[in-house]
Amino acid sequence: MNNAERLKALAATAKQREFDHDFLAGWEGCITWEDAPVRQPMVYPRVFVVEEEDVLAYNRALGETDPLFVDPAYARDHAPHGTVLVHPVFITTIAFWLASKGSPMSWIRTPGARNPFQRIEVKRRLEVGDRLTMRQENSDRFIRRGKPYITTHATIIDEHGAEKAEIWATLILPPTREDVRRFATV
Amino acid sequence: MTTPRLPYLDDLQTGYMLPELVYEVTQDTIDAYGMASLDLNPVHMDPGWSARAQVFDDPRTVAHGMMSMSFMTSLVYRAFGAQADISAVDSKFTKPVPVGSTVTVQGMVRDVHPLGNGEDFVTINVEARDQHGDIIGVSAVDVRLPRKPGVRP
Repeated sequence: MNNAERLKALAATAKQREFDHDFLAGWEGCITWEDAPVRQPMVYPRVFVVEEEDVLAYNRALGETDPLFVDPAYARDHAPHGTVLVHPVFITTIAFWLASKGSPMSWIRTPGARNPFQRIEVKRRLEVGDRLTMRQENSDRFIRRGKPYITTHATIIDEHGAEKAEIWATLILPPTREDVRRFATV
Repeated sequence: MTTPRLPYLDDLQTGYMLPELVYEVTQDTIDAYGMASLDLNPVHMDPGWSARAQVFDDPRTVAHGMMSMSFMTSLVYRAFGAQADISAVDSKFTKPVPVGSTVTVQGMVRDVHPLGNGEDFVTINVEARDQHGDIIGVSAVDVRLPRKPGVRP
């Protein structure tokens, strides 16, 4: 069993099942540090519907114990909206699902990338049932201590047009397509 | 099992320590987080690739930075309950966390912000350390909290 098959067997939600489990396939289509468009805002047309199973998978992966996080029956009676509560870093799931291969933010899926720092601001708590889109731009590209960094600023928007959260995500990337190729084909 | 009671801002003072959390980082832990976050980067999810690529000069897979960020955020939820209204998390990752690590997360109230406009919040400094005592990540977590009834803003 290769690794993609191993991961496919772990899939427990509809989004996990439909996601591409071969991370390295199509690496040639990834935006690299040297060709990432900067300060060119775009809106991602896909809609991420927050399903209860997505939230439960995230909360359980973290070992959460509060029943408002992991017990739908308890949440129905005690949570403000009757659904399990969403962890703020769940935004990661939304970003990875929306930033499909070939998109301007596809560099978050670059093999060989490193994660130095992140910032999330929550304006309104995400909820099960939210229908979310993303507005995003690569806000900066810089070199620090000889390493190539890129920062994206993404805003998560609900079906009413309200801004729910913002993330400033920074990665250190392999600088050139040749560097990416070395990691992708190792 | 019930949810902890959300504290009042007025119950907290700077220097208040939150109960620490300890996480064992196994490949199962990493796999569960990777699937839940859809971050299937082989540096986390593929032991064979990691051994060949050695992105961090180490043949082992490493935990997701976003998992460490989640652990540091969860410290607040374990202490204050899931209804804690976290408004910002600012994280820096300082050392890779290879599979097999033990991560201990500690936090302390750094600032209390009694704004008096319904947006009162505290800032909690969180540190995560590995089994060697090395810091693997730090965060500042802002949490909006209610005021105690009858307290002047």
